[in-house]
Amino acid sequence: MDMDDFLGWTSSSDDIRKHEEAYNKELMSGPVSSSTQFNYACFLIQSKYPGDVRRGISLLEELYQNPDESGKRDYVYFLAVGNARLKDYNQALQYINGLLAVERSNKQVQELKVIIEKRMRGEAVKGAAVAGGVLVGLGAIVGLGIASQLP
Amino acid sequence: MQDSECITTLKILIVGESGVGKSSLLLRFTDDTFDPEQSATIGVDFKVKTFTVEGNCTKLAIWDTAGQERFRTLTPSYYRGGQGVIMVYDVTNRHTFSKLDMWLSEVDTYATKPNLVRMLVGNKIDKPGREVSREEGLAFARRHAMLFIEASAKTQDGVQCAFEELVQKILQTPGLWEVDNRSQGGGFSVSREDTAAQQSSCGGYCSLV
Ligand SMILES: Nc1nc2c(ncn2[C@@H]2O[C@H](COP(=O)(O)OP(=O)(O)O)[C@@H](O)[C@H]2O)c(=O)[nH]1
Ligand SMILES: [Mg+2]
Repeated sequence: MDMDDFLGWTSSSDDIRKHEEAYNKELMSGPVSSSTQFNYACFLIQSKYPGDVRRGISLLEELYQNPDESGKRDYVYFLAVGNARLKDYNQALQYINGLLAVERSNKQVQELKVIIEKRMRGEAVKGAAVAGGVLVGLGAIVGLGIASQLP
Repeated sequence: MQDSECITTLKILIVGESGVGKSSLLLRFTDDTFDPEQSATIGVDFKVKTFTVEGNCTKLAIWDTAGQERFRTLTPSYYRGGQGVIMVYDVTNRHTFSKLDMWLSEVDTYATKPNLVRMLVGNKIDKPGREVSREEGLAFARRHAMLFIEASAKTQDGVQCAFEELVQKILQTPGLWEVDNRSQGGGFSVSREDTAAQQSSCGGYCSLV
């Protein structure tokens, strides 16, 4: 498990279940409090299953829509984390840059940005390696073709 | 230092009221910087640092919690597996000291390792207007069998020591940590010099209780 940064950390299914129960309980008896929804969403976006992460993102988006919310920076930060974990790095950076526009010197946010950009480059390198592999493969086939034509 | 040379990964949590300087202490320790306008932590933050104590390289995964009420239900899950906890109060704010009982009971409730090492840190000793004396801090720590140190994230006084003592104590606690399977060679042994506090560079600062 890659535990070197926040994106590499995953929540346990126990944690998710526990917060899901709290969420469902409140849902049955009226509107869910924003802190219950936020906590549930936080654990969902740290899940190793993309479906959970997506659900976490939509719960956070819902919270963000709420006009009288004081915790907007928390929602935006975790929206960035969730999108980055789904490898939607551009969306994640949009959230990060939005936060930095308000809190330019926030080191926690700056650091998350560096991590996301590092992952982005990592993916780009991986992509290039795959493309390179294809080229090598083609070269080998062409080479074979040439070789077989030699007398 | 290569990770593979480290003998273990330790999980450490930093808790305490908001504004006491938890993030500042962590930043001083990991990056050796201080920001007088440190932003309030969002939810929970997480940093990894390799740290060598008496020749033993350890990888520290340090969790910095926000401390606000709204995250209170979020934090318990982060206690799981924690081997050390740093409990911080602000020596210039008595309220943060009187909240320690609450933090202590939270740690006791949620910590999964019964013998986790707890350290009390009285921060901001550089600041004028002290409201909690060193003796009071020490007495509290003693009563609850905690390590104790006074520190300043601003001037870096005591910060390195706090982590050093904590890690040392964790390594000296049998059964509290495991050898990383990634680390090669089983031939190492942990230095176990007795009364570490007196022999380490921190002697005189930290009080082992
Ligand atoms: N004078 C002084 N100020 C500090 C010290 N540590 C933190 N602060 C300031 O106290 C405020 C809160 O610090 P922060 O690390 O965000 O506290 P947290 O909420 O516990 O993480 C910030 O303005 C810091 O710059 C210290 O040792 N001395
Ligand atoms: Mg903080």
